[in-house]
Amino acid sequence: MSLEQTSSRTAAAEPASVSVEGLRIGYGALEVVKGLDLRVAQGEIITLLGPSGCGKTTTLRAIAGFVSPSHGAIRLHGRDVTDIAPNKRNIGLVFQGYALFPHMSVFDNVAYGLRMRKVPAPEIRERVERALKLVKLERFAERRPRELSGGQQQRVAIARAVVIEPAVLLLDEPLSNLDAKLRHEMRVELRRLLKEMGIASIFVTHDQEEAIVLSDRVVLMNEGRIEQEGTPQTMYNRPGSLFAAAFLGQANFLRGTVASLGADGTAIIDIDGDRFQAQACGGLKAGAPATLVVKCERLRLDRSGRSQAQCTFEAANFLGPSVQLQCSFKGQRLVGLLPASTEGGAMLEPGAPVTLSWGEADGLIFPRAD
Amino acid sequence: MSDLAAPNSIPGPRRRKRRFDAAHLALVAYVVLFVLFILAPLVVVVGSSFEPRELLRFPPQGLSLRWYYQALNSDLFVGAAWNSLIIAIFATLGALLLGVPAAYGLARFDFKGREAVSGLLNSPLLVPELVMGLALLQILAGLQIASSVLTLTLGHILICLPYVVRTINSAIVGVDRSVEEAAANLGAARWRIYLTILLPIIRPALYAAILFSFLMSFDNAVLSLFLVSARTSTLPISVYNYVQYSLDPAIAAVSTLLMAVSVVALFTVSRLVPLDRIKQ
Repeated sequence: MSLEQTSSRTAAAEPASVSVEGLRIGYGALEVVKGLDLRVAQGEIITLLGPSGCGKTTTLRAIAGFVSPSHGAIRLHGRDVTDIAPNKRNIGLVFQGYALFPHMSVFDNVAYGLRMRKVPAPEIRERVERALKLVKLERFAERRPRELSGGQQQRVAIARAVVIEPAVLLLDEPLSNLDAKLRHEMRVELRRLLKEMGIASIFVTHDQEEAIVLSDRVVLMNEGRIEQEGTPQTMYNRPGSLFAAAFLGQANFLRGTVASLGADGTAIIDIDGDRFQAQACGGLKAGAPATLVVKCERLRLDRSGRSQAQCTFEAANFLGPSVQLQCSFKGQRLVGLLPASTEGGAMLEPGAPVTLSWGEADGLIFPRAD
Repeated sequence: MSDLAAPNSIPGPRRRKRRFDAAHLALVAYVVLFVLFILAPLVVVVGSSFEPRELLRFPPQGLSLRWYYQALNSDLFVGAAWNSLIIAIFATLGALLLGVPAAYGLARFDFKGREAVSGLLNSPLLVPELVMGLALLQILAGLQIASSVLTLTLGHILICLPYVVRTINSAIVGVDRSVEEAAANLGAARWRIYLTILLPIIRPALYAAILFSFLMSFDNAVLSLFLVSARTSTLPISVYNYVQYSLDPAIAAVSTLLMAVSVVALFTVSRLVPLDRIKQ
């Protein structure tokens, strides 16, 4: 996966399939998107990730043409489409509920876009068959949508959107209506499919795991603006803000004050008398309030890491492949996610002292507002 | 509810069966009375239409098609029946042309005064037909327009409109908006979306609207009473006028034929779409 992602990053130099410049969208007095710039290269898969209300779906609908921006421009392969009607944009869209045409067969659903483009019938047949084969539904061409399972309906929606060879494929939470097991299978399958077709794609999701698995680049949105963007690895390992750190993965947030700043990009945080060295992020000032962020799975139940915290054990929850260890440290909560094979965790009594440690590079210190 | 507890909670088979029988009998009696209540007037009308003599009575003294022959050869009834048919067809067409776009607008757009417009479109249901008839009569008199098939049709469009708007509106509300967006996204212009996506999806409701509208117009008497003239009459009005002077079984024969039209219309629609799929 990492190889693929490296190659697509170099593709960013090519002309963008879609570019969005200074996009602002408001509903009445309420501004939902507050200045957004976005470029998606040919064949690149990006995710708009964020909590509900962050403007990600609105941005997607603006690119599709269902919402008019108050400012900014949307370009497809360099052509300005900001004021062009949705039916004249050549954009593929996969809806959250799929929005299949219930009165048409799978074949007619997929053929619809081609018929609107007045493609000759023999070519329609050929292209629809190819699209259905791609999503492994060639045997279901004569079925009605309601005779298909959720996963199959979703694949029809994808076939219908890609058969028109759109400049960009937009997917609005396409996996959210599937059950957990199918969702996990489909996100890998979907990535393979999109890469095979080489269509630039923009996903909208609030599920950080989905964003990490599916995309070449994650664009994290917060309150109508881009909070941070980067490869899934960067976003996960090097969050640029407390918001990003909280949104991607599970992490611990320990409140303290900055004790001192190092020259090598590190800082020391003081948490009620205990001091930890970690990576300094953002404008830290000695004596100012700060938060130490450590991902749950980076905590170890031994003294192997340089940063060590003397905690009180509270509870252990068996999660299958891993064990969740709940401890308290100086009155703050510290949660560790350890492999289920870790010895010792299950034998602890509530209230017992326990030492959790982590590597220096696993800790990030962010300035805190209050 | 667990499998283990179930055998104990079921009463003995004999006792259970007897109780079931008493309830079952009561249910059968209820249903039979209910059906009789609905059918009795129809049975009386249809039955007396076969009376061979001059006097309307039930049960008939014999079986004869004499009065059907007479009714179908009467210029009065046949002319009125044609009027009723033409008016019902054009009133339905008119109500669809006005009502379907109105229903779409009410279902899809949020605008100022939406509730008021909705109320206005439904008002013919609330205002007594007697009042509407009187009002229309006054307007026609004021404009010095003579009653004709056209004025009757216009009046009937008014009473058909609420049925079309209500039926179609609830059908459109049930159609996911994103289906229309998907069609637009795939390149369909607005009129194409209506013709290839929306109208086919709400086809059952369209049939229902056509049926209700047609029957509302075809069977209407109260409003028509104000709009007919000596030269143009509708079938229900002719029946009404006829009973005022004579009570021979011809009236039963005509009524039976009037019912037959309704039954045929209902049957045709139910063949096109299962009745339980008609939403109102």
